[in-house]
Amino acid sequence: MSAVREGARQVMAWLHGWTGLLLGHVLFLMCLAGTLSLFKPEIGRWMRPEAVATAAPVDAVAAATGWLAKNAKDSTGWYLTAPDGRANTVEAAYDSGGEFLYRALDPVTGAPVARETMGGEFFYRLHFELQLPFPWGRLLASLAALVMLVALITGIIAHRRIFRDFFTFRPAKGQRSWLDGHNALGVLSLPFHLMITFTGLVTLASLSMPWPITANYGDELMAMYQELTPGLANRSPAGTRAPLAPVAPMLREAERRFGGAPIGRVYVVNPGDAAAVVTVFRSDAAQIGFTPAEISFDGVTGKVLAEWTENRPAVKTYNVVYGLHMARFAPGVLRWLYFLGGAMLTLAIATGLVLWVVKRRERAPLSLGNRLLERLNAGAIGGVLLGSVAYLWANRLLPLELPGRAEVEVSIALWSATVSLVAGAALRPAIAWPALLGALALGCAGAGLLGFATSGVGQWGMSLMLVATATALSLIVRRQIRALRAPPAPRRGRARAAA
Amino acid sequence: MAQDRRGWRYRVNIAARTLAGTIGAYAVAALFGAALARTLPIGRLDAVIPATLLAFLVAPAVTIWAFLARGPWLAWAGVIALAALFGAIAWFTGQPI
Repeated sequence: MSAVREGARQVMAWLHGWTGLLLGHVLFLMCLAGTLSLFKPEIGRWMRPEAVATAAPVDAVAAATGWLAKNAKDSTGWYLTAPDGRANTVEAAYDSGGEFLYRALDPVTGAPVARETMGGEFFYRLHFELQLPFPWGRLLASLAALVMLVALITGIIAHRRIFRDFFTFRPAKGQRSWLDGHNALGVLSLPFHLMITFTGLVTLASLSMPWPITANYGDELMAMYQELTPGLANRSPAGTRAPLAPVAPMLREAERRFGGAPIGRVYVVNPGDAAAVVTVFRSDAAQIGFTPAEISFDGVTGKVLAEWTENRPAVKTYNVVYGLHMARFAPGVLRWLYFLGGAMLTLAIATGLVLWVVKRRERAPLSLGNRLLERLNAGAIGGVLLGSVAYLWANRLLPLELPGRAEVEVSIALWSATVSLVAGAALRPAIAWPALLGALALGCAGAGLLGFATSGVGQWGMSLMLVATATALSLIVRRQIRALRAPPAPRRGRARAAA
Repeated sequence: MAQDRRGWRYRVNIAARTLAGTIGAYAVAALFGAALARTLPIGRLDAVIPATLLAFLVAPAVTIWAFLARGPWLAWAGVIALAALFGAIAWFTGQPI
């Protein structure tokens, strides 16, 4: 009568299936975008081949503030990220004329670089905002992460033989192969999956789990933020104009007080106002913990207003949890391990979604809902990937002077994903998969070749990755086409015959 | 079993557990976080952090328990009891000054 009597393990398997299915496609998108975001600076450089200049962090940020002081006077704040060994441009987010803008600024001239693009920031924002308006995207992402945590835990409990799954793969055996693949992907980097899901939840905690904050602060949210980052001075605009003092000496002073560690984020709030504040953060890439130290200067006089080095155990813990998710600290090999973990989680989600259908098809004819799901799987998984590649094509093929170029790039990504969804719904899955993955292989190969043709040797790494992906995909597609050409198995019997 | 799964009793059972495991689990986690944030004998900011981190573990634990409990009534009774307990602790401790 109830799910309970089937035994705890079966209940867990049942719950694992449903929680995985519920927001599985959203989770696939989040995991793919998050995995790509690990190389956000590298993607940004690949997408801005004209921007080759480099400068020291202090000089680059000073140049950026110089340009913004002339061209974004009416702004309420400039939020800058200094270049480091990986990115060469200054990332700037600021409002201008009532619009919120994101621009990569040239490290020498301070002006926006020629090829206006969101670069890797598109994947980064997509990862937790899902292209939805605030706060809905972040709330949906939080919900998906919470559901995934349940799916992970139930998946573990449902398992009898974690260790054996390390070594089990029975290929070309229908449901069993999908199950083995899903298990291996899940189990081999299980600690990573748990860590990244939990820490991801924490990054959006002030939105999704604000109740501990409310319990201790009531409506005084600003008081909480003030206590969290005491070195970030808050001032309302005075209403009287005053020129911004030269920023370079403040940045140098900050660097000196950080013990020589490089600067990271730089906020200029109320620029051009008598109450301007310049806050400089120590680079987030210099240690695991995020926001390790910050110092605020009076924007007009250059005097230090507040200074803070984080040493409180609780806050440090939070910063490390946050930093573990952001992975800004991770050097070469570790970054690739993060990438591998993310890729495995993305594939675990995709195989899980396919497995749901395969498992049911082997038992009985698929219900209408599951037939729709089968088509949604092809369209959505194909669509997320195709949209990402279309974004790279748009980056190379749209004319540089096109107005609103960055937004057009994003639109092209979203429309490509939509077309793929429609194709997935319209075509038989046996056709849709090779068609979409074939298009993806061509897309990756094309983007890689476009990359080789239009960027310097320094950016060939990403182009090589694209070509390698295309090669791997073409092998899969070849297999799928062979299966299509094989004498048709009786309806819904093909998998069973193979098993 | 296949027949059971179509019955209305099964559906009500699953619906009740789903509600307990979603809205109920979130409510318990939120109240647990609020109670812990108010009762930990450390600074009010310091207390918020472990409270928030642990709340994210309480939520999935309650979700899973809602489906493991012997019956949907028990699942709901557990959720209500925990919510009441944590709610009372948070309420009587009051907002720190």
